[in-house]
Amino acid sequence: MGSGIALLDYDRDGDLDIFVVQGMPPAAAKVKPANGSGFSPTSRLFRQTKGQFEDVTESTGLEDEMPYGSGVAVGDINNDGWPDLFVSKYGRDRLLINHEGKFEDITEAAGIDNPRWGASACFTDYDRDGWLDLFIVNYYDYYSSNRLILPNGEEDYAGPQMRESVPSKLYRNLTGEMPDHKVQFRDVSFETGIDSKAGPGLGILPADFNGDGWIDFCVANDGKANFMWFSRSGKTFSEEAIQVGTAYNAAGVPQAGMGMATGDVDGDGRQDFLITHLEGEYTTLYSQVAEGLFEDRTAAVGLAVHTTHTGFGTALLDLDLDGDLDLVIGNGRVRRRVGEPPATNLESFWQPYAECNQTFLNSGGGIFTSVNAIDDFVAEPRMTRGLAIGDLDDDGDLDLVTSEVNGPARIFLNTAERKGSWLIVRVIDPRHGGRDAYGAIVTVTAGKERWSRDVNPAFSYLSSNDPRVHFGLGKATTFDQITVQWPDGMKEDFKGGMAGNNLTLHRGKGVQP
Amino acid sequence: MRRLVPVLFGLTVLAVAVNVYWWFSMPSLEPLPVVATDRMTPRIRELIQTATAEVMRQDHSAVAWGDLGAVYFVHSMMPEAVACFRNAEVLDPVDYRWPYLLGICLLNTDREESLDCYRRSAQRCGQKAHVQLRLAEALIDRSELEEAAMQVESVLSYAPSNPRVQFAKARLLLAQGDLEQAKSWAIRSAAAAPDKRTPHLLVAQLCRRTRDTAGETRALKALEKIADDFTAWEDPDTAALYPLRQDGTARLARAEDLAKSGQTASLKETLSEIATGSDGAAATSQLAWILDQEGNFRESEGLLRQQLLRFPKDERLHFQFGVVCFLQERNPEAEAAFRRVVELKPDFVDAWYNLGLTFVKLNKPSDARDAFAVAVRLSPSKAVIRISLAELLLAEGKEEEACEHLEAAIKVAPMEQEARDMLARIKAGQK
Repeated sequence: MGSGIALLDYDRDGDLDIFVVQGMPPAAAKVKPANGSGFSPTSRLFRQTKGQFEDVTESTGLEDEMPYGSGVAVGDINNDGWPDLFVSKYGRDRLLINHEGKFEDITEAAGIDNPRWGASACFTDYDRDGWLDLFIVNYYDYYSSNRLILPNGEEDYAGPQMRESVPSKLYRNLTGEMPDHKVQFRDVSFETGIDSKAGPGLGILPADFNGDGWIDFCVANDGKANFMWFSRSGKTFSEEAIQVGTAYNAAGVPQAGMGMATGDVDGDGRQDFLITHLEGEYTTLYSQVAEGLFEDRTAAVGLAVHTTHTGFGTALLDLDLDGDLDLVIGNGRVRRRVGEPPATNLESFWQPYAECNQTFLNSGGGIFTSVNAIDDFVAEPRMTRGLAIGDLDDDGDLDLVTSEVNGPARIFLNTAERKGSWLIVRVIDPRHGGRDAYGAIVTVTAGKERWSRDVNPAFSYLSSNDPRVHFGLGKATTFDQITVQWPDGMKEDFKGGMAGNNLTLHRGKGVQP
Repeated sequence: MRRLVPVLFGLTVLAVAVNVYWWFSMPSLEPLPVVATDRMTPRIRELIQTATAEVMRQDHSAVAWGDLGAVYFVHSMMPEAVACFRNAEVLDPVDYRWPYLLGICLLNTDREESLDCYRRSAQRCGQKAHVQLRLAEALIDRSELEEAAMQVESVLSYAPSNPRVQFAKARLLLAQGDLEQAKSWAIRSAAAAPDKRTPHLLVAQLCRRTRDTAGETRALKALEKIADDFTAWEDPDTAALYPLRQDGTARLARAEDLAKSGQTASLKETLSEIATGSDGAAATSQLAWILDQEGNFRESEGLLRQQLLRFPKDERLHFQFGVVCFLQERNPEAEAAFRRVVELKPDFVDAWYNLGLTFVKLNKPSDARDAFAVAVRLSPSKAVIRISLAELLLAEGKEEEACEHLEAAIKVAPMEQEARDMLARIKAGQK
C-alpha cells in the first residue's frame, strides 16, 4: 500500500511545504530511532523557507501516534483561506483543520467516520454550493486470515482477489448551512448512490469528464473494473465505466489500478487520463475520444511495451516546458521479484521489491518516448509509492516529491533542459474565503496554441499536489489571454501578458467573455 | 588373430569418433533447476522431485523437460519453468507447445522474447486458434496491427465462428477507427460466447460510442447475468496443466467448486487438509460453517477451539465460534465471541449484526439497537440489517426512524417483501 505525500502552503508564506504520511505499523514505528535520521512514528510536516525544510510537526499540532496512514487530501473546508488536511488510514481517519498554521483534529466533531481502510481521498465541491466536500476511496475488507503462501512456502502479498470489496464514502460539507459555520460533514454515500457499488479502490480523480459542468469521480480499482461516477446535477451519481470505456483495458481485462493522472495528452482539447498498474500489465492511457467517451490507446501512444513495472504515483506534467504533457511514474513492486534482484543499497529483504521510476517525454502528438538519461529520479531502484508535483523552488518548472515503502521521502528538483517558457496560475474565488477554486478550468491562449488545466490537486496515488496550475508554453514568450471557467460554469477572461510569471487570478477581476 | 587387431582398432576409432561427434552435436541445454523444497507443501515437493527424477533419467527427452516445466509453471516458479521449456524446445523444435508456454512464462519479464516465442509457436501450430490468437492479441496490445490482422484473418479462414477471433477482429477494427464494423464483430462474438464478459463489455462501449441506446441496454443486461468479474478465453494447452496445481489458492478454488457442486464430503476432506497449513484459518472457518449447517455443532466447536489456540487473534475464527455458540443458544458465550471480533476488527459488519441478534436473544434491546446501528453505518446497503433495526425502533415507538430504514432497505433491495409488508403495516397504522 505505502503512504502518500502532499504539497501545500500551510502557513501561506508563498512557499510549498511538504506533508509526509506515515504508513508504518505501530511495532515498526516504535523501534526506530527518534533522532530525525531514521523512521518517524507519526506523519510529518516540513515547512519550507527558501529551499530549506524544517520539521514543524510538533509545533503545528500534527503529532499522530496512530499507525497505518495511507492517503492525504488538502483543501480549505471552512473557506477561511487556510488549507486543511485529511489523512486516510487503515483505522480511524483524521480531519485536521488549520487555524492559521496550527492544526486541530476535528474528525469526530465534524462527522467524519470512515472505519474502512481508506486509500486516496480528495476535496471537491461536487454539489457546487461553494464548500469543499470529501470523497474517500476505500480499499478492501481486510482479514488477517487471508494469507497468500506461495508454492515455495514463502508468504507474499495477497491481492484484492482474496478480499471482499467495500464502497467508497462521500461526505457533503454542511459548514455553509451551520449557524456559526462550524465545520460539519454528512455521509451522503447512500443517498447519492456512491455506496451502491463496492470495489477495491486505490486511486481517485475528480473532474468533469462529460462536460456537463458537474464534478464526476473516476475511481481506480485494484484488479477489478474501475468506476466512473457521473454526477446527476450534483444530487446523485450513476456508475457508467463499462459504457464509456474506462472499466477495463482494451482487451476487456481488469487491471490492478493504483495511481491516476489527467491531462490533455494529445492536444485535442479533451482531458485524457491514465492509471498505473502491476508488473506484467501496463500503465493504461484512457484517451477521451468524444465528450465523456474513452478508449484505451496505450499501445498506440507507445506506453504499452515500456510501462511494465508496478506503478503507483504518477503525473502528467510539462517537464521540459515544450508545451506538451510528459509523464512520470513512481514504481516499486508489491510481490517479490523472482530471480536476481537489482543492485541497490537497500536491505536484502527489500531488494526484490525495488524498481526504477520512469519518465516519458511527449513528442508533441501524444506519443511517448522513455527517457534513458541517468537522472536521480529514474537511476536507482526504489519502492516509490506517493508522488506529488509542484514548483518547490519557485523557478517556473515542476519538481517531484516521492514517498517510499520503508524509505525516506525524496525531493527531485527539475533540471531538465528548458525548451520553452512557462506560466503558473493560481485561481481563487474571494467569495469562498480566497481559497483555491478547485474544479475551475484554466485555459491559456497564445496565438493559435491553447492549453487547458483543471484546478485539482487530487491525482497521483494517495497524494495531493501543488494546487496552482502550470503551463509549459513552448516557444511563446507572451500569452494573449487566460480564460477561467469557474466551478459554477461561469467564464471569465483575464488579459494576456509575458510568459515566465506566477499569477494569481481573483474572480471578478477579469471580464465576462 | 592378427587380422582381428586392425578390425578391433578400427571399431574403437569409430566408436570414439561417434562419441565425439555426438558430444559436439548434442544441443546445449540449460542446467537442471535447483529449488529449495524444504518449506514447500509435501504435494508440491513430491511433484517437483518426481518430474526432476524423470528428467535425470532421460535428460534428452523434450517431454520430460516439458513436464517438469509444467510443474514449475503452474506454481508460478517462472525462471525454473523458462529453463525447462527452453530445453524442451531445443530438444524438440517442432512441437509448438514449448515456445508457446515459454512465451507465457516470459510475458511479465521479457515481452520482446515472449512475442518471439508466440511467433515461433504460431508458425508451428497448424490450425490452433488459441495459439495464433495469443500472438494476435499481443500484437494488438503493441499496436502492431498489420501483423495482428494476418493472424486474425488466418484464424477466420478456418474457424470463422470462434468468438475469440471475432473479438480480436472487433478490437482490430476499433483500433483502426471503424466503430460500426467493430460493433458488428463484437456483437457476433457476444452471441457466440454469451457467458463471456469481454465481448459484451466491448458491445456496451461501442453502442455508447455509436449512440445505440437499445444495444447498450441489451449488453448491460447480458452483463448482469454473468457473475464473474473476468474469465479468460479458453486455452487447452494451459488448461491441461492446471490440474497439477497444488498450492493453497488452487486448493481453495477447488474447494469452492466442490461447494458449488454440492460435493460436501470431498469439500470437508479438502478443507480439513488445508486447515492444517499455515494459511489454514480461512479454511477452518469454512469447514466449521459446513459442520454448523449439518447440525454437527460439537465437531465444529472442537475444531474452532483447536484452531483458536493456533490463531488466537483471527477474527473469523472468533466469529465462527460466536456463530456456533449462538446456534446452540449459548448466548452469553456468543456475545463474548462477537465482542472479541469487533475488538479485533471494528469494521466487521456481520459481527456487529450478529452481536445485535444475540442482544435481542438476551433481551437487551438498546444494546441490540446500538449494534445494528453500527452495522448500518458500516454497510448502509444491507437491507437485512436495516429491517432488524427497524423492528427494534418500531418496538420503541420510533415509527418515523423505522420507516426511514425500511424505505432505505426497499431502495437497495426492491424485492424485499418483509420490508414492504412492515412499511405497509406502519403506514396503515398511521392512517
